[in-house]
Amino acid sequence: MVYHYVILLLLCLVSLDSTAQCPTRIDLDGDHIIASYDIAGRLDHPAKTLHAHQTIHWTNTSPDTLTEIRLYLYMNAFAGLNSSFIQRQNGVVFGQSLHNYQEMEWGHISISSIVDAGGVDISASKRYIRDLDNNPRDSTIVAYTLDQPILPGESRDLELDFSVKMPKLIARSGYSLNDYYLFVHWFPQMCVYEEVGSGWQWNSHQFVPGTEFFADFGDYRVSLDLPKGIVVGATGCKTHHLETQDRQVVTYTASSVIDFAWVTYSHFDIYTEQWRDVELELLLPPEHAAQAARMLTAARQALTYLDEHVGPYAYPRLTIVGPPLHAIRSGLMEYPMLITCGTSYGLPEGVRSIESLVVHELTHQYFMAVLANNEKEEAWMDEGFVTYYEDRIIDHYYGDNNGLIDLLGYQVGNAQKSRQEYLGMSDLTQGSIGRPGWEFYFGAFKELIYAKSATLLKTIDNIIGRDVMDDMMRGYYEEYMFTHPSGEDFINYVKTYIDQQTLPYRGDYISNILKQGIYDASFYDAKVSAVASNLDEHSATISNSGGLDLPVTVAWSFVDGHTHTQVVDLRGEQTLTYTYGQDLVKVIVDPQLTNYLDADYTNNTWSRTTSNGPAASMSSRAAYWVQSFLHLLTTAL
Amino acid sequence: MIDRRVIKWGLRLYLWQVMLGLAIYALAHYYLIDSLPAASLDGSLTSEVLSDWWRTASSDLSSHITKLALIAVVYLLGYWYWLSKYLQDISSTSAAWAWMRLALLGVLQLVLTLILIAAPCLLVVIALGDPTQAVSERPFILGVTGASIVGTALAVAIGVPLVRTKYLLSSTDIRLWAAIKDGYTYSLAHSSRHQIVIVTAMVLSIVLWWVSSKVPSINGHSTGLVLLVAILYQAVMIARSLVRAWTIYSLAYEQDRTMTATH
Repeated sequence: MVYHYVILLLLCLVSLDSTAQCPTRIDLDGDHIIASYDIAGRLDHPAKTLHAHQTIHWTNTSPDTLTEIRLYLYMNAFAGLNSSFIQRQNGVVFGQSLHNYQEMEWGHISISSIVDAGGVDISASKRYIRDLDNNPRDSTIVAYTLDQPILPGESRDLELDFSVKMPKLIARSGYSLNDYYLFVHWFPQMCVYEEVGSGWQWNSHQFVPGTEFFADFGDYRVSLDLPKGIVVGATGCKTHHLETQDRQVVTYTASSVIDFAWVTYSHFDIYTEQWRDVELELLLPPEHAAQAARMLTAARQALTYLDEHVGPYAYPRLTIVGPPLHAIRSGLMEYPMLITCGTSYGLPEGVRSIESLVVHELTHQYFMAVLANNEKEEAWMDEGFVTYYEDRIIDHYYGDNNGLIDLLGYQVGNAQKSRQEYLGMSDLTQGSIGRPGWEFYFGAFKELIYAKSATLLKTIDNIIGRDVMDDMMRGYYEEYMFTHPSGEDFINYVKTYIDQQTLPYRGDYISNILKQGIYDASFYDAKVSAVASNLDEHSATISNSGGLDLPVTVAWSFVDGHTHTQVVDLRGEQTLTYTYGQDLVKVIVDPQLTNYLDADYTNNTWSRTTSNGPAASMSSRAAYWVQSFLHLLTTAL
Repeated sequence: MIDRRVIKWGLRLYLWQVMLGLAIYALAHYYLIDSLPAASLDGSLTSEVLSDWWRTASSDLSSHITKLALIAVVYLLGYWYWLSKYLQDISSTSAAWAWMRLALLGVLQLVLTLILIAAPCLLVVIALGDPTQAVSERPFILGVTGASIVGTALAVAIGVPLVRTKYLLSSTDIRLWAAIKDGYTYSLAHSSRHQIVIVTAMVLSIVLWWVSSKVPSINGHSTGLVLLVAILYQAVMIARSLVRAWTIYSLAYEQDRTMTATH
C-alpha cells in the first residue's frame, strides 16, 4: 500500500500545475476558481471500492467568517432503500427495481479523517444536513465544524481520507458486470456558499430525484491506481500514465471545471479525432464500432454549430463514452469534458437517436459546464437550452422534418419531437418550468424542463429572429461564462439586450413572455373563433385560451388575391375588423407557425372553401394500411 | 392453360377487397374532412399540423379501433363467403362445411404462424439469457432477428401447407378434404411457392408505399405520381388475389381431380 502512495506522491510532485497541463481554450483571470481538488486513489477491484486521499483547496469569496464547511456525499444516496433519493422513487430508479439489491450491491462513501489547518482532525464534528425532508436515513450532505474559522478572502486546505464503495449501477453511478465502472458522485465535494438576497448561505440540498449539479469551479488533479489492462476515460487531460506488473497509475488534470467523472472498461476501443485544436476521444465497445463515425461526425457538427452560434468550446478535450448495453443505465449523461451516450448494436442510420444524444450531451459543455447554473433549483437553465440547441443542430444537419427519424418513410424532426413531447402532456397547466427539481416528484419533469423550455425558446427565436437570437445568446454566453447564472439573470439579460436593439418589441415585452412561459403554468392556443362579413366590413374573432400572451400575425385573404396582415398582442378573445370591397376567403392566425408553443395548429384557420387534397392523401394511406393488414390476415387461405 | 375460374374468382376476391378499401377510404375521408376543416384549407398541411390533428384524433382511439374491428369482421366474413362459393365452383364440396372449415383453418394457420415465429425467438432468449447482463448484445440481437426470419420462412414454406393438410386429414366426410389428404406433398411443393409469390408481392407493395411516402403528395403537387403509385399498388393487389385463387385451385381442384382418377 505504501509503495502505491509513493508512486502517487511522485506523480503529484511532477504535475503541480494542472492549469498549464490542460488549459481552457478561453483566457481566464482565475477569479472563478473557488474549490480545487487533488485526489489520489487506489481501486480495490474485487471489493468495488476506491480508497483515496484528497486535498481540497477552498477559497472563501464571501464577506462572512465561516466556522463550518459542507460537503456533498451523494454516493450515500445509493446506500439503501431508505435514502431520500431512492425512497422518493419507491425503490424504482429509471425503471430498475432496487428492492432485490444484495448488501454488496449498494454503494456508500465515508470519510475516515478530515484534517483542518493546524493538523486537527475535525471528523468528530460531523453532522448531516437534511434540509428537504429531515429523513434521518439520508446522509448525502455532511457539515463539519472547522477548528479554525475561514476569514473572508482566505483560502484553506483540507486533507481528507475517504473510501467509496461503488454500487451496482444506479442512476449512472457504479459498476456493471466485471470491470465497467462509471465513477460519478464519487468524492467529497464542497457545497456552494452563495449570495442570496442581502446575505450569504450554504446551498446544500440533499440528493433527491430531479436534482444533479451545483458546484464551484476548480482545478482538478486526479491520480488513479487501477488494475492493468482496463481502458480509462475521464474529465480533463491524461498527463501521466505509469504501468507496473499488474497495476497502472493514470493521472488526469482539468482546469476550470465543476466536477470530475471517470469511466473504465476492458472492452473499450478508443477512437481519437481532432476538431480544430480540440482532441475528441470516443470510447466504444467493439460491437458499436459501426456507429463510431456517426458519433464523431455528430460531435464535430455540434462543436462547429455551437462555436458559430453560441461561442467557443471552452476545453481542450472531450471524451465521449458509449456504454455497452449492460451498462446502459450509466448513459445519457453529461459531466465536464466527459459525456455518456447510449446505443445498441444494429441501430439503423435513419434513426438518429445516437446523433441526437451526442449533440445533447455535448451541448451541456456550454449549458452546465461553463454556464454552471444551479441544476437542482433551475434545471431548465441547462436542459431547456440544451434541448433547444439539440433541436436546432440535428434539424440543421439532417433536415427540419426528418432530423431525428427518417426510416421507411416515417419522418420526425427533432424540434417537432420536443414540441410533441410537451403538448402530449395530459394537462398543459400541470405546473411551471421554473421550479426546483424536487418539486417535480414523479411528473412532467422531461416534458416541462426539456421540451416546453426548448419550445418556448424556439418561439422567442421565431419572434425576435434568428440573427438577433444568436447575437443575444453569444452575448449571454460571454458575459456569464464560468459563473452560476440564474433564470433571473438570463431574463434580465434578455430585457437589456432587446432594449438595445431596433426591434418592434421592447425588452419588457419579450422578458415578460419568458417569465410567463417559465414561471406560470399557462399555455398558448390561438384560434379563429368566428368570422363574419357585412358588405365591405369583415370581422374575425380570434382567441387565446391558454393565458400565455404572445404577439401573433393575422393574415386576411380575399377572393381577388388581395391580402392583408396585421400583428396583434393576443390576450383572451379579440374581434378584429378590416374593410375591403371583396369577398373574404380566408383568415389565418400565425400563418408562419411562429408561435411554436401553440397547443393546436389545426384551429388557426378559417376558410370559405376547403381543399380535399390533404384528406384524400391521408385517407389513401389509411386505406392502404388497413387493406394490406386484412389481406395479410387472409393470405394463408 | 390457367382455368378461367381461377381468373374469375381471383378477380372477385380482389373486388371484394377493393370494396373494403373504398369503404375505409370513404370513412377516413369523411372523418378527416370533418375533423380537419381549417388545416386542410389550402393544402398546406405541415408536420406540426398533422401531429396536432393526430394527437386530438388519437384521444378517441378506442372508437376508431372499434370501427376498424367491425370493418375487419365484415371483410373476413365476406371473404370466406366468397371463398366457399369458389370452392363449390371448383369442387363438389358443401358450401356450409367449406365456409366453416375455412374459417377454422384461417385461425389455425394464424396461430401456427405466430408460434413458428415466436418459438425460435424464445429459444434464442432462453439460450442467451438477459442481454443486459451480457458483455455482448450482438449475439442476442442477431439471434432474435435470425430466429424471426427463420420462423417466418418456416411459416410460409412449411407451416401453412402443414396445417392445411393436417387439419384436413381428419375431415373424411367431404370428398374435397379426402382428396387433399393425399396432397400434402403437393402442398409443400406448390403451395409454398405460391406463398413465397404472395410474400414477394407484399414486399413489393410496401416498397410502393415507401416510394409514395417520398412524394410530397400532401402538398398536392404530384397528383399524377400519387395516382401512378396507387394504380401500381392495385396491380400488385390483383396479382396477389390471382395467385391466391391459383393456390386454392391447385390444392382443391387438382387434388380433387387426382382423387377422382385414383378412386
